[in-house]
Amino acid sequence: MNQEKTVMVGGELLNVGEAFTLTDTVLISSHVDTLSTPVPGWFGTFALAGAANKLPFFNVRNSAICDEAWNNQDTRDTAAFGMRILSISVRWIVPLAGNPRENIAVPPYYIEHYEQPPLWTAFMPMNSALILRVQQDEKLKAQCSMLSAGSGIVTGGFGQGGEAAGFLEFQSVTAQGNMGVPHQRNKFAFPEVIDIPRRASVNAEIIFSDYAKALLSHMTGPGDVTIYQSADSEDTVNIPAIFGVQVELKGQRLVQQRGQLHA
Amino acid sequence: MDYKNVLESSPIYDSIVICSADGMYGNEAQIPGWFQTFPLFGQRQEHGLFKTRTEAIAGLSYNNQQVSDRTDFAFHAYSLGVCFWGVPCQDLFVETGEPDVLFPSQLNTFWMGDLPNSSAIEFRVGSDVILTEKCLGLPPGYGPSGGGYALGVDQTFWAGPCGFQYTSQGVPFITNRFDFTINGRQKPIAIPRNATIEAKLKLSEWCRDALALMVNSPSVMYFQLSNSDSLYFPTRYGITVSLYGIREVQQRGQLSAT
Repeated sequence: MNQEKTVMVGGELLNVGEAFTLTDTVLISSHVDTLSTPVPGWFGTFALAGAANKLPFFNVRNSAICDEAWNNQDTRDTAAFGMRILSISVRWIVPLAGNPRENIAVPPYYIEHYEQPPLWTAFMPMNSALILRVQQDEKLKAQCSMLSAGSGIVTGGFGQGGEAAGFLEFQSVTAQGNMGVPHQRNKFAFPEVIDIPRRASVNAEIIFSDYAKALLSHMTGPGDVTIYQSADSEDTVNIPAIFGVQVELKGQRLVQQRGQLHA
Repeated sequence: MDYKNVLESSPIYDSIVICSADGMYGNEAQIPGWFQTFPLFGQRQEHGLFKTRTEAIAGLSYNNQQVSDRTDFAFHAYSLGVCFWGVPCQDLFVETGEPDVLFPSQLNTFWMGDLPNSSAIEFRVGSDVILTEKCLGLPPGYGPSGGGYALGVDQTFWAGPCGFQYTSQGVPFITNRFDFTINGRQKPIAIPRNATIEAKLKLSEWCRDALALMVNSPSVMYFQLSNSDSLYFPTRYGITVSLYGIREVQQRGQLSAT
């Protein structure tokens, strides 16, 4: 436990370091357009995301604006507590249950966009970059692929079933990959810790290359992932496919000591 | 007033890109050391990195140098890595006339496997050759992992052959890079400010001969559109060389600043 400072204000207050990850996410999904409360910086289509000059993080949203799964900031544009940043990671979120489909008017009435998840996970990181700023200082400029996610799905194998070659037009089985090995230590580590004072402004922004923007402008959707409800039924449900980018800063936050075994 | 250098971690990277003219935007077609065809790339035995491009010329996605031929700051280089990257989905088409298209599904494997297997990097600081190593001996420590795909009947009807390819050079783990410090046994390479650095990619004769036989332009990706039309979008292949380390910059306001 790090003891940062002692301040006497009617008693001894002590800042302690706690392991913490600051998370923010940009989502791209048709679901975004149906949210009860619009979330700033989220997009309904790839084309809109590609038209944006940059994707900002850590100074746009907080956990009250979007769900905690996507953001855990108490404050929207300043650090809620002092932080010591040890690493940064970028995760490219793709739908995992299947490929997004786009409904069309002619048989078979859909197009399965199997190319979108791998392009998003494994190609966009090579054609985009991230800038991390604390106050006015640029702390990091890096190609996004260098900032491995450090988390993700480890999947098994797959096989071509009878239905895939038979009369039912089941969508093909997909196991999406990751950017980097999904291991907690596989994040871009800062050998020298980045200290962030309380109430400092912290922001990261992802910038797509012109090529990536043009590619995004041609990608339709994201559509829905179709899931069959049972083995003996052709009833399906359509779940909005979620694509996104999640940026995490991992390190310590400095908060006042609370009751613990060592207190 | 006293000034003090502090240490900050920072990568330095530069990229070579091969992409047809249709896929070049802005000034990209004029970027030195970028190519529009594989044979043009293969005609040169050596390709220089950290020597000709800057962030302003190539874009931050491919380069983060402020100065093209000098180091922006004093730098302690801990590791070096080379990443050969390409398109992860294999629906690559090459328009040939008759038949209309070919499906060069091996192109990715060649670019991300055979090419690093048969080329090398020479890394220089000033006039000193610090390292000469085959590219597969310099894993980047990042890249795609996992993934799989099974072909459904809908795919055979609609899109022809398809597949995903999540290819990386070595296990994409942050520590899986060429380590100048040999696990901390010796000091990192100290590079002064305004020093010249260069990484030379050296293609073997086999590489150059194979690249000369490739179709003129890189393949295109195939998209289906809802009006049953198709869209062919240029693919982009690249080689990114990165130095990870610590830069020395003048102290700025931080929690620890005094």
